[in-house]
Amino acid sequence: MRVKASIILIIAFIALLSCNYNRDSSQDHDNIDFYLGVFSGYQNPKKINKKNVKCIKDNLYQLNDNFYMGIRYYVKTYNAKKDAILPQFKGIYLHKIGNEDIKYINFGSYRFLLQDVLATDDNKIYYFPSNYEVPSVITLKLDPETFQFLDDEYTFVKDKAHIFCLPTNSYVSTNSHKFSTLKVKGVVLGTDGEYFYEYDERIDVKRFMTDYDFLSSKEKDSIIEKYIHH
Amino acid sequence: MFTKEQLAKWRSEGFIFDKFYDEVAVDKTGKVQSEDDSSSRYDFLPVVSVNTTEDPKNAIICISNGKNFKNETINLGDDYDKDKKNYTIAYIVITRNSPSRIPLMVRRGYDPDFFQDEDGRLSFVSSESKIQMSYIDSEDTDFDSDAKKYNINDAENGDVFVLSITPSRLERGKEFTISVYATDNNDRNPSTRKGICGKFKFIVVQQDVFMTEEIDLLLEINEGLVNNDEICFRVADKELASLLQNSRLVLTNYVGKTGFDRVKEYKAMGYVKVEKYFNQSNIWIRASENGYDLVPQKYKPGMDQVFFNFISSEIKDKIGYHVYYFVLLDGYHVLLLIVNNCNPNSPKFLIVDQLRIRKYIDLLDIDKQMLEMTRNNYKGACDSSHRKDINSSIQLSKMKRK
Repeated sequence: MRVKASIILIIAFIALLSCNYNRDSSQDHDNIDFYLGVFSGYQNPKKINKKNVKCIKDNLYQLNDNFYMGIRYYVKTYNAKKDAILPQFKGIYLHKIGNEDIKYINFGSYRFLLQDVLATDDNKIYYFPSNYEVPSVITLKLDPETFQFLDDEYTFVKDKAHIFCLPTNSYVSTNSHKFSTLKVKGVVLGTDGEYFYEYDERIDVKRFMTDYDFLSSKEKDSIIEKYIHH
Repeated sequence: MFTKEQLAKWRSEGFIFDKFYDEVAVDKTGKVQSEDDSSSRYDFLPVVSVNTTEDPKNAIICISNGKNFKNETINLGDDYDKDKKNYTIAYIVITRNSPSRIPLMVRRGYDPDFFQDEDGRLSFVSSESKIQMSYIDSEDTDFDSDAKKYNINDAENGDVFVLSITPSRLERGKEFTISVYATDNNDRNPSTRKGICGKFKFIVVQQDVFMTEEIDLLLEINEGLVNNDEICFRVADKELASLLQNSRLVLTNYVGKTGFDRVKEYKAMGYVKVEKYFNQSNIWIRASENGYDLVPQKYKPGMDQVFFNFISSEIKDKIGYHVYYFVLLDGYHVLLLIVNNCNPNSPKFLIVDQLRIRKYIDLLDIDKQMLEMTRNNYKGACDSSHRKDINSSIQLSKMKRK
């Protein structure tokens, strides 16, 4: 294990040397604050001196001898006029690689699948859920080789065995091979030929007919005819 | 109490009128009414009831008459004045582990034209043997442990005192009553009359009901967190750690967690009594609006009291405070919803988070508030997820002690 980790660090170092820093990222550094530390009960990460933070590629960063995944960090503010909570971008939270949750990654093959949201290193798929209050990375149980996006709204992704719903951060329990998506009036639904899925929730035909009032009966009939196998 | 001879003497001396002597003091058979031990208006005839000018401690007192709740009443007897003989039994929720303090007062139950015995003895009889009662000579419930005892054997109309109850070893939800009886003391005109002059119905607070002091502390903690802690489900954890008396509910690491994760963990730890997921497609009529899809517009027919009905059924017959963990817009925001059901005829609710301090609102308005809150925050939740739509289902989990 130690040998493997050393190899990864060497690869990372080479990558660092050979990396032609992304100009946008460098420019971002001037405007973006970086945060490091824990989100515990009574502690938040501290803002650090961004001059010491180096971007390796995509959202991989180096600070001193440590490597990090950079995750967008939002806080909520209250807008009294709208009586609404609004997300406010605070900066980049540096999540240490080598911890219990992300033990190591392959820096060489690491790349974004979807900017700031999904990444892969050819071994695993990493998800940075943007609706989490605490910037987090989740390793999905999806196989990078058979990974595919299912819709242009990035609602569902899948591999040969699993379907994952990004907005709800949850897996959809049905047959991956049969699962496809449809888009109606801007809304993405999943289907396995027997049920529809709104996010991760299974909707039977009867409920589809009664609950989806933003669709006309004619539209529903047409969708059922096309996607549900009788 | 007075003898026939005394009354006759006073009549002859002009201290009492003939009419009073004939119609009130002495009955048609010539017997002095006060000699009858079962009923006499000249005995000590007090009414012992809750002193509503003072706050109880570790207790919630409910006296209310309405559609949802009505206190039981008893008839104290014909000797009492018309407006006092119909006695309302106060319903009192008490804590399980700390003494509860109930402010009481002694009032005159009959207002005679002339004489009445103003003092006597009180006795408190509990239907539950496991409780301990003590009486403190104090108007309010803030007193030290060495406060002077109130002598119930020397009670007098106009007295105020505090009844302290320790319900050791009683299970939650256990109901019992305490009845108060008045007897004459050994003054110069003793009587053996013993009549009921007060009654209280108690319940040991249930697992999913919280006391005023607990909620006050939660709100005090919240006040300190508003604009100081920016993470909503951590704020909820801190408040619940106080309420449920478990400091470990505040985590050492919040990375990788959401409100949904936390509620699952609360459930696994035995802190959730019941939960309900209000599915977006069941409750809302949704449409595109200002570039966003599936925005809740209004309730579906028959669903416009869906939250009120759920909460009402859960708080029914449970006087006190109820706390719900409230996950909005797919975890975009987590709040606590506190329902004040101290008066079941007008329950109110309060939404608690780190963004601002709100006020209690009539529970009847909760559905309107839920729709408004979902709509107002829909854009923010979508923007936060870089999407044009978001799951607008709502999850409510009713919290309980272990």
